[in-house]
Amino acid sequence: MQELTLPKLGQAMEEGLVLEWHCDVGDELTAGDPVVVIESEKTSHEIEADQDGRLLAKRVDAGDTVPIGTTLGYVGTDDEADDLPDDSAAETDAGAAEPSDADASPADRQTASDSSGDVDREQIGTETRDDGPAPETIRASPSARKAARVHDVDVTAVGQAVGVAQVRPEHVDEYVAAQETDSGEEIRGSPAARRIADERGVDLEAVGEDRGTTRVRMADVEQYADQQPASIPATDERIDDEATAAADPSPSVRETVSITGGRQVMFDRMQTVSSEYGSTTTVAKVDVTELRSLLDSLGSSWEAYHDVSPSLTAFVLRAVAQELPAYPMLNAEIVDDDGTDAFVRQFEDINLGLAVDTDHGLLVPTIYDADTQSVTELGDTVSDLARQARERDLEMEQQQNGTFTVSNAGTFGAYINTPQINPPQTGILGVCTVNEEPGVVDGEVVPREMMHLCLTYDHRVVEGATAVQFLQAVKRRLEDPQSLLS
Amino acid sequence: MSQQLDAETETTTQTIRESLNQALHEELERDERVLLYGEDVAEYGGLYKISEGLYEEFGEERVFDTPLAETSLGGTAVGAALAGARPVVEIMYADFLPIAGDHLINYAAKMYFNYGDETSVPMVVRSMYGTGDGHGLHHGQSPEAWFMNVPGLKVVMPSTPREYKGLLKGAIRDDDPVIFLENKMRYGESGPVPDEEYTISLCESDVKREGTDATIVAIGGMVYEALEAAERLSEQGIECEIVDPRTISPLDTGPILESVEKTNILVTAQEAPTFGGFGSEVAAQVIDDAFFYLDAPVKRVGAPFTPIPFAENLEEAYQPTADDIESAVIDAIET
Amino acid sequence: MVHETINHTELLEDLLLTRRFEEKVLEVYQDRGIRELPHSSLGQEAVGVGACYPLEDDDLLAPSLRTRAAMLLRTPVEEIVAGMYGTESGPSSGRTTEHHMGSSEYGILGTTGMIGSHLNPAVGAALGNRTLDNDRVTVVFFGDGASQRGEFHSALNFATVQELPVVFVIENNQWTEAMSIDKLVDVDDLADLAGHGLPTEIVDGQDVEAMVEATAEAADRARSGDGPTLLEAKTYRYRPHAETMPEHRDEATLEAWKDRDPVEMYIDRLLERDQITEAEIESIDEQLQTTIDDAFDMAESDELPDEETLYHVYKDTEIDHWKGVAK
Repeated sequence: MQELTLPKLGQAMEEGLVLEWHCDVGDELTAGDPVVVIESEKTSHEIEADQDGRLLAKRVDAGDTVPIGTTLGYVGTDDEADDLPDDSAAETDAGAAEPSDADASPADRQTASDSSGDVDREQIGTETRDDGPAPETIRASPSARKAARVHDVDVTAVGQAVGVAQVRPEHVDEYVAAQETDSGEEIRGSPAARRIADERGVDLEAVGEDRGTTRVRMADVEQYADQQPASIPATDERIDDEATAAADPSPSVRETVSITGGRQVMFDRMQTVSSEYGSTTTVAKVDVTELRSLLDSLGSSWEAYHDVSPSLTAFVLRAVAQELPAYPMLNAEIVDDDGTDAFVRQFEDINLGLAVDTDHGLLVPTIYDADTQSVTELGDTVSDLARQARERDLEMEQQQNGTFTVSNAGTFGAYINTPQINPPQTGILGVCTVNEEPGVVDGEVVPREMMHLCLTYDHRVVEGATAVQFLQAVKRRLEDPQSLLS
Repeated sequence: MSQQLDAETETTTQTIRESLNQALHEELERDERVLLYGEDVAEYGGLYKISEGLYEEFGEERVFDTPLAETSLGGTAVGAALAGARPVVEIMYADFLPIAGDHLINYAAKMYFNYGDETSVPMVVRSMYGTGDGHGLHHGQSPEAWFMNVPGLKVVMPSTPREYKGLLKGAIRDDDPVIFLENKMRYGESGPVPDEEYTISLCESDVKREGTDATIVAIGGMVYEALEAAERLSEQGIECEIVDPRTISPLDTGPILESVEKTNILVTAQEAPTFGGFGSEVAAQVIDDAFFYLDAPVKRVGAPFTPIPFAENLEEAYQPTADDIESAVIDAIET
Repeated sequence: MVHETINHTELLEDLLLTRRFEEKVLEVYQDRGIRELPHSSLGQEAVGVGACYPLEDDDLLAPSLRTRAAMLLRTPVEEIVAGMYGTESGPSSGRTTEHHMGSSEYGILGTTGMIGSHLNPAVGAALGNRTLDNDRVTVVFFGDGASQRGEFHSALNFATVQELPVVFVIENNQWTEAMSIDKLVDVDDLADLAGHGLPTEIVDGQDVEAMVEATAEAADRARSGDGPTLLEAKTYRYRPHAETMPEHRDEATLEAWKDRDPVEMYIDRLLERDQITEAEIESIDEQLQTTIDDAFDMAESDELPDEETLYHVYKDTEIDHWKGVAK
């Protein structure tokens, strides 16, 4: 029989959220099937069945947060159902023998537990931790009452929180300790701890969480920092001790790279987008043969921009800037301070962000009023901004106020590259590399120069049709490059 | 900064009483400008026999008894010093210092500032403090904080026999007015005193014991209590560093800051009430200059904010001891 | 007679200097303002002038804040004035007020703002001089107010017991701050407060020659090792305790004292004895007025002291004056 418990997914993790059960009690499982998804502050994790059988019992409901090591449920064969640890015997019957009960909606289960003495097993696990015994059933020993007085806490609250009907002094201690670390008391460091944390680049709160204290001392920081090779929690679980390193099968660390500056910006933005946005990408293949020949024919007049890519980029920017006004949902931003009363702010101005890769991370300088600039002007602007970005010479204002973003991964040879939205914008266009491919012109197969355009948009506010229409409009413009010169 | 005895220095073990008597004797002999006077200092030899034999040796023009008027002791010392003599006056108990307070605070402390020609007030006021002998409310108060706040005064509180002698000689040779506080409960403490002529300069803190885990800044008689506490703590694996400022004001904070930067923990120890005391000033200086080295709240050991009581049990409860220092260090470490 | 040995021109100059200076202070204080609040000695100039006259140059003076004569006769006039303005040429470069200035160079014992606090230090200075085995005499001036303090008794007692070379001079100007002396002590003569076994003498403080004679005798006693003397100089101050606190005075009494004005009395006497002419007096007066006017002009244009001047608290130890700790 497999006991499903909440694993520790990081140094700082003390509890986790049961995000979703993939199956109900009684469902058949094959080894390797995902059973339950759990989530810590930093990551989520799927627990799989390690044997064939059924989900015998759930101890914790989806949506509940429980401490590390908590039993979530059991997987096993029907025969093993009888061996389930205590207070789950009833559930085995209900769960395994009567699968239909397991299908009952949460509301049904709630009703059942409220209306009868036949307590639902799925509720027991959570109630024990979170709600505890009913207040009237909680008793406390005199020494526990004394301890409660000393700590100025209520024994009934202790009993409920710890989940015991008879409160003993150690329960009071446990309750008080839990309150100190869990109840939002701020983690503070001594002056020396703060200095050392600063010197060694570790986060005081992480130290406090790791050491289980709200009063971080110098030694806490030193011990924490000693077990972390660097400031990045990515290597949280690495063991730095050389003696144990040999036995440790985890990959040896080559280097840890701090997430700062441009990297920090990228980290934060992508975090936001991946967790909050409904990003979807639509792709168009654009025939740029004519555009390339136009670029060639422009020849020496483009000398200033001898690198082909920027000038191609300039045409793309021109096309985007000319078409965007017709698709206001894509030239917009989402205003969503706290998740309620969210709205979309559409802009009159066309300020195109241009993603530029630099040694110090991704930067997105802004081309103000791109719709009023000619291809030549855009080429100039791009060239200037790219240089400023590389030389870290951008003013704050040159990196703000973008309404839509263009990213050219084609310069690195990307065939198809779906970009991520630059929040709080609603769309981004990814420009990919130009390849010679067989194309059909007037019924004949001829070599053509083809390029992918990938439009990623926030599907929460931009309809698929709108996005596709915009992308097709840009494609048409690029396939008729003369129209962009006017 | 630490003035450890050179291993090759010849020393003799003697009491604080003997070392003080020697210091006075040597200075009276060395410099004819030095005077010693006060209540019962001459024929009786001092209430605690510190000046025994000096009257007989140097005569009544150099060592003499005075009327029972501390105001005259303080005032005449200022005048004699301004005129160019080097008076050493004994104001029996430090509790009586406030009687001469006007002369100490308003006169002695301010004349160097007031004169424009480098005239200063090279006087020494010797006075006793110290609890534990049932002398009650008015014969044992530790007065350093009363005078710490007065720019122009120097306040000295030695701990060991060697320092009592060296610092008294240093104080007599110092050009500024010095309040030299002697712990009457410790006159019998003995220790090595160099045989050769020496003085100890004022305003230099000394490290009495080296350690890595906590800094105890202890003054006067509390240095002995701190040393005892440190020994006990050492058995528990806690190594305390003891800094003995010796001169309370102007304070040499250097060794204190250095020590706290090493140990990250500060405990102060004094006999006077904690509130508004020497330890509070040390804490403030450390917070000012070594804040980011502190790893725990500063703990101040001192007396409660009450007068010194008379009854034996009350006096015991009042008086700060090694136990209190030990607890304070542990408190700081375990906070 | 002692007046036969006195250089009357010099003594008159001393007296007139003090009078004209005090008049100038009042004029300037009313018209232009000075930082130091004047505690005028107008009316009682003969006490300080007469007491200082017979002393040796290196005898020590311990004046009260109202003994202007003692300050003026030992210190350059412009330094006194600068001291009243708090400028850099003043005593201790502006750190202190001229009222309490001390100077080893001029033989003036520094004092404090506590009336009578300088009595014991003056006795101590005499003790110091005995220790240093010189024959300097200390003359300490104080008012009727100080005679009411314990300091008076402890100092007199200490000096008598130790037979120290001190001359105590009470300037009994009849007023303690704004209170009449007859309400504060129950003796007619403050000399009667003394006791302690020291010789006392009551002197006419309006008569500069009497002051010279009495002080000369007392100083001789001190110098010859016979111990201290107390002189009670009976005089009268024309002005209030300080210029900001005018008190009620009985006009008839004031006029009676003014009839015996010390400066006029002395001038009348010298003219009567043909020891000086009106023209000589006028010439002296003019010269003094010029000296005084120049001193005030100088002080008014003098610079304020540097901030560094403040940092002068310990002679032997360098400290950080803001942190209060040794460097």
